[in-house]
Amino acid sequence: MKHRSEFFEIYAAFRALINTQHSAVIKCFRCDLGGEYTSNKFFQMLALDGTIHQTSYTDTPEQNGVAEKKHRHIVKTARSLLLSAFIPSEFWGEAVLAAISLINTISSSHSLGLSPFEKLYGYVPDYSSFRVFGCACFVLRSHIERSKLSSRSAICVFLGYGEGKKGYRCFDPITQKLYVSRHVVFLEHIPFFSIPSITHSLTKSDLIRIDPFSKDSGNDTSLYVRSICTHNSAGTGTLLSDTLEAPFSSTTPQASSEIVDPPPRQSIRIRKSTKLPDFAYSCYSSSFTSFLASIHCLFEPSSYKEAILDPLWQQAMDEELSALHKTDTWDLVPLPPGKSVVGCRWVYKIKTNSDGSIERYKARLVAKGYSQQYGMDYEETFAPVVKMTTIRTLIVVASIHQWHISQLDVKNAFLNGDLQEEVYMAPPPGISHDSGYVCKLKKALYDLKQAPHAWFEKFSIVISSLGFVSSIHDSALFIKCTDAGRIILSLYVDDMIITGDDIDGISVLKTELARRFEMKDLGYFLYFLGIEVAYSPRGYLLSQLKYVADILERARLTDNKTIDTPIEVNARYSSSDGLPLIDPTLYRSIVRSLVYLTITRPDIAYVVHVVSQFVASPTIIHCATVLCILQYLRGTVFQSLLLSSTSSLELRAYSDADHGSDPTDRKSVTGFCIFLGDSLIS
Amino acid sequence: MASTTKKIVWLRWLLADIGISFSHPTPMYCDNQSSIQIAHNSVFHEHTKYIKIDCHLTRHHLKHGTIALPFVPSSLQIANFFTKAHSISRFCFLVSKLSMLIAAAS
Repeated sequence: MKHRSEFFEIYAAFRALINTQHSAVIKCFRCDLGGEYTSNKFFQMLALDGTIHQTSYTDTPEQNGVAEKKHRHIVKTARSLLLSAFIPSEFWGEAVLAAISLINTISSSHSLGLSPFEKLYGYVPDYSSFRVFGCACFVLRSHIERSKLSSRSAICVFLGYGEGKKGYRCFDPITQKLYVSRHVVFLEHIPFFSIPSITHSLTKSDLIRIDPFSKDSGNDTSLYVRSICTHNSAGTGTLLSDTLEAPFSSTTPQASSEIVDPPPRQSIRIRKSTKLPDFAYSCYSSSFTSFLASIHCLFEPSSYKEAILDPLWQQAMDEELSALHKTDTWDLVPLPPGKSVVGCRWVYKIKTNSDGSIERYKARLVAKGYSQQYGMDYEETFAPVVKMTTIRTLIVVASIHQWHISQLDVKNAFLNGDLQEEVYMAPPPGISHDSGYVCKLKKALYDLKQAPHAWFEKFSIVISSLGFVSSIHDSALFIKCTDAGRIILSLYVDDMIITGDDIDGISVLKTELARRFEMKDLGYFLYFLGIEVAYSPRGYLLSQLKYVADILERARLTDNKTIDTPIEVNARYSSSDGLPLIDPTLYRSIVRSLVYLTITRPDIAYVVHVVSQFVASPTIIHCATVLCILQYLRGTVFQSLLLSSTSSLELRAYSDADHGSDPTDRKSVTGFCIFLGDSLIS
Repeated sequence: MASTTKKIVWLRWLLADIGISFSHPTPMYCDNQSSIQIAHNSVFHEHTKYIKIDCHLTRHHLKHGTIALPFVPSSLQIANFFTKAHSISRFCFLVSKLSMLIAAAS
């Protein structure tokens, strides 16, 4: 509407539209005292329709609250669209249009999670056609515009959706042309106006040199392309990998992961146009990318019914059953009276290598251990695991002595544990059995309460028969001293690392263990308990990149803000401030993950200590603190801990106490760190 | 201090298991002069309250040469990192002291 006088025609057109499309009539019209609403012509029309006309008093816009609020909503959305995509404000009109179409299709809480669109038409709008506002895209030029040898597409900025046509509105700032086309290839993770202006001038030569519409770009098989091609044409990936250098590749994992996100909520889409801070990109980049890409491409069935349809999972289940038979896990017997039966179910998991590629499909039969009762079905459940300090110490010692560290994994470890108690389990789906028969378990099945204990017992027996002694200071550390040297083995449930200076002894040990258990030699020490280990002449570098990425993913942060420190100076928290969270589950699970992350990230140790005090009743303020930590982590994903190989073997300790720092109970905080040589171990 | 002492003693045992033994005491840097004095001298500070078994443990290991207690100014106290929040510059300094680095740098 350019002039207020046009209002009358617009109103008439709108009245006709809703009358024809939705057979509804306007019963009431509320407005402020604008001149266009109070013309005689308009009054006549309202009177003819029988519409009530309500106006607000002068200077009381509150009375017209619904309309004012809607305006604010639209303007706010449009503003954030513009800002997030760095679009100059002259495109406000397009932004408002895009904002309206987004608002109309996003579900809103006050209409029971339905979007306005859904409410009106009764079906879910098609979200697949949505793109990130302001992202760069390539529009196929029409035949008239292009000659045989000129570039076939133009790089444009995406501005909205065609009205009445199925297409996208894209603007080419170089030729100042607006295209409405459906032949568009999007680079959704690159906001158009964030491309440095040099690239704009390069458009004609470089960017278009790799034309997304040309056929030959399809044979690029880099990992990234595969993950993205479900949604876009393969050309997108080619362009990225070829023309845009490191800073952009850091956005790649983020974007590619979100494209395959199943529920395309619009809020996620909008976020995509912002960009991660530029990291100096290291050798990790490719593996990191593939981690995220593969995590998202894969699908894990949640029930037996789903899994039985997929041959890959069928094969996995067959493998598991044959492993169970091989270890002679159970006998089929009739259930003796007075005994209870433990249920069981299948759990499906895709195992990944440390570089993110699929290792294998794994199906595991687990018992419903939670239904067991203490005293009836199990007695002892405790099983020690090696301390993280011990592992770090081991790595430092090994790296200083130039010892070789190897890593082994016991397949189906718990199935090796012998059960002391009598446990009966319902036969799993997928094996044939007579009715009335149940499985009497001889070996510890996964998720039985006593399984870890049984396994550890068994392993201790085996390892002591090989001459190893369990250390009294960490009972999951086994040591064997001979004249030939020393072998050290640390066990973390079913993963173990072996090091020492007796190389022959180690290989003997490996074959011995392989004879007793079904073992897998993972070779060189690379990926242990979610910790990535990189070796360089300067020492071992421990990091938990994948773990950080997973936490950030789980927390579903909606912005890409980063901060420099995880907590404010002099911040004091107590359990009573703020409103309690309604659902503390996410808070707890994230704090739990953060605690594990402190293994390689001592920089967040203090904050994690603070937030973990409140897991019992987290409030909004504590939640905000956790968000700060996550934002800090996002900025420092690549921080890792160096365990130096060149330092001496000297212990050094630092101890400090903050007296009475806790505002509620005046307890002191004690902190300490112990270095072995230059490396932090505790 | 006592908990750190315990940890040091444990680590010394553990390293002895692995095959590394120490001949001289492990330095435990501390930025509190008075606590160092208390640990060293049992007579002088009789009026100090709240001396319990913790103090005796520290003193015991100090006497037996397991630990030493050198003074370190607060500005160089690395363990400070684990007890309170810090400003950006101090935070970065401490992170560098922990031998943490960006993966790209190596």
